[in-house]
Amino acid sequence: MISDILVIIVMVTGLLFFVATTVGIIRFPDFYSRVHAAGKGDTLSTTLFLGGAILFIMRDFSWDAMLTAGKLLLIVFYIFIASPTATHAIIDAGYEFRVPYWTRSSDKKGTEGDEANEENMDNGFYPEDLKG
Amino acid sequence: MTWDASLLWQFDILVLVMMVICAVTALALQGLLSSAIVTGAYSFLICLMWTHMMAVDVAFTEAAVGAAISTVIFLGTAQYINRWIKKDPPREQGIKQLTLVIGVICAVMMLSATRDLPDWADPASPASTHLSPGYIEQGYHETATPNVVTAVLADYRGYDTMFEAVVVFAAALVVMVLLRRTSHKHRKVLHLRPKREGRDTVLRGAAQSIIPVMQIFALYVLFHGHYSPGGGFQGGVIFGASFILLALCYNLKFSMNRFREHLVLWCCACGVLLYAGIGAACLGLGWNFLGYAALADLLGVSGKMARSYGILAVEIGVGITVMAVMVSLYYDLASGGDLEEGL
Amino acid sequence: MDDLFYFIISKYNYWAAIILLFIGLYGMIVRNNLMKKIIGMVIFQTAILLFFVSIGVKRGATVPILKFSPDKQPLLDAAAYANPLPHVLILTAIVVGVAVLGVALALLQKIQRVHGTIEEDEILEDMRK
Repeated sequence: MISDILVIIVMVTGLLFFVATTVGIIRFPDFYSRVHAAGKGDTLSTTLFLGGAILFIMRDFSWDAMLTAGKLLLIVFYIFIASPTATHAIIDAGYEFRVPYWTRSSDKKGTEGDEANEENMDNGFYPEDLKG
Repeated sequence: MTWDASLLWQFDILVLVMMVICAVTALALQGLLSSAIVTGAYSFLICLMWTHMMAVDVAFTEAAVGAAISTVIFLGTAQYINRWIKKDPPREQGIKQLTLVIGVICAVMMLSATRDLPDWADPASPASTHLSPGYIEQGYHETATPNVVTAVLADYRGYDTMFEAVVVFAAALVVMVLLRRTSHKHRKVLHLRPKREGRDTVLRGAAQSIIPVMQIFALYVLFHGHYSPGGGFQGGVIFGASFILLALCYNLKFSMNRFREHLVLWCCACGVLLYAGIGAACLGLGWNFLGYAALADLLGVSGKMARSYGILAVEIGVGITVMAVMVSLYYDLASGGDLEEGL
Repeated sequence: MDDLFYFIISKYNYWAAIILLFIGLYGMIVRNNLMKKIIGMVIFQTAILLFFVSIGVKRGATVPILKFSPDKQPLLDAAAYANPLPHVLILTAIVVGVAVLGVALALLQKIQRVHGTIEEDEILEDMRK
């Protein structure tokens, strides 16, 4: 009974993080924060959801259940490696191609990718030594 | 007319609606990169659908092939073409409307014809009452392979699978012939990212920790295909994907130093040769082509175990071919045929 | 009302396949860009595969991998497993599908090199010159 409640709590938390991720992808203003939301929220929610599945399987102990739980644990582990790496690679690619990023001024003008943004890109945000 | 609610039709309809949305979006978007990504999402959705239809082998293949390899070769091609497409020219509006009208009429006719088809998930449908129960009931006694899909794939329908492997092999050759030895007269290389020496440390570290496990997993999938979902196709694709991941995280040259091009070609040919050679060996021993029971005396085991081993050998052949073909497709398409710079 | 409900939920797999089929076909015919035509072809193909696999679904059946009783005897009841035959056909068709996709994309790159564009009307103009 207790373990059931625990499983429900963990899984529902995971689902809530999924919802937060989706809202983040839709509502955040620029590329970087969207990818950030997708990377962080997705990793955490998948981990929680699969963790809930592991707890659910482990309720009655047997070797088969242990085997399945071990496989799920491996999936969690590799998602935990791969998902942040993919996020890093996407953000890195966007950074190198100078995808405009959000500032307060761009919000005030109500447009994306205007001159203010371009200036920000050239001054300081993009270090000289990375340009080659 | 009673409906057994054991199948989650709500889930199915949700996934199918999302698939339709993805399909329309992939066709309607103006940017080719985004439509390639949406096509990948579409593949994952259909993968979910297939898992729910209890076709786990198919779902596994789709996840490896449709969602991973297809997306990568789409992106590899997208760097050599104009990535932003124009609006369709106005003179085609008439043709568009005509196509729409004819399409809708045909679709309505086909939809009305579905009344005569058997119900969704009907156990007594004609497709499920002929031939396939025989495979399920006799397959284990004849081939000692619990995974019925593997047994049917490599034994009962061995010809089919052999020529599928030949088609895949031929496709790799065609891609090579098409892309090599052409003048780059109009070549417009739109590199997806600036050239840097290799990639950064995070990607390399992740690749180093994932690739060995991927390769071991691919071998597990291949050799455990008798007992669990998997087999030559899936194992081969995952093994090939590990080399593609290496090329993505380092660069094309790095991957090509590990798995050289002439070795790729040898692997392509050897896999098909292994498959056909086993068939020919059975023929030489006085049985039918691909009648693995002929190998029983040679291996010193019973007839059904000989068929099990025959399935394994054939799956290895398929795995080698598919692995090499996936790597070859990536090498050629991502570098535009000159094998200099990849994705 | 019950009959209508029954009709909808007993045929929706075919409906989805047909709708996807015509979306793919429409895209193949109407879009001007050759890459979009290839994506239309992929959608067309998956619609047919969906139709095939959905034929093999059985109510109350599980994956077509034999289950064993505790004394190592296989459970050989055809009604307990999904139809494996469509799975076999579709599994190979998917891998051949990606090979075909590779050939199509190679042709696309070649067309881009020869004509400098992959828009259908521009290619036709280039060929008339």
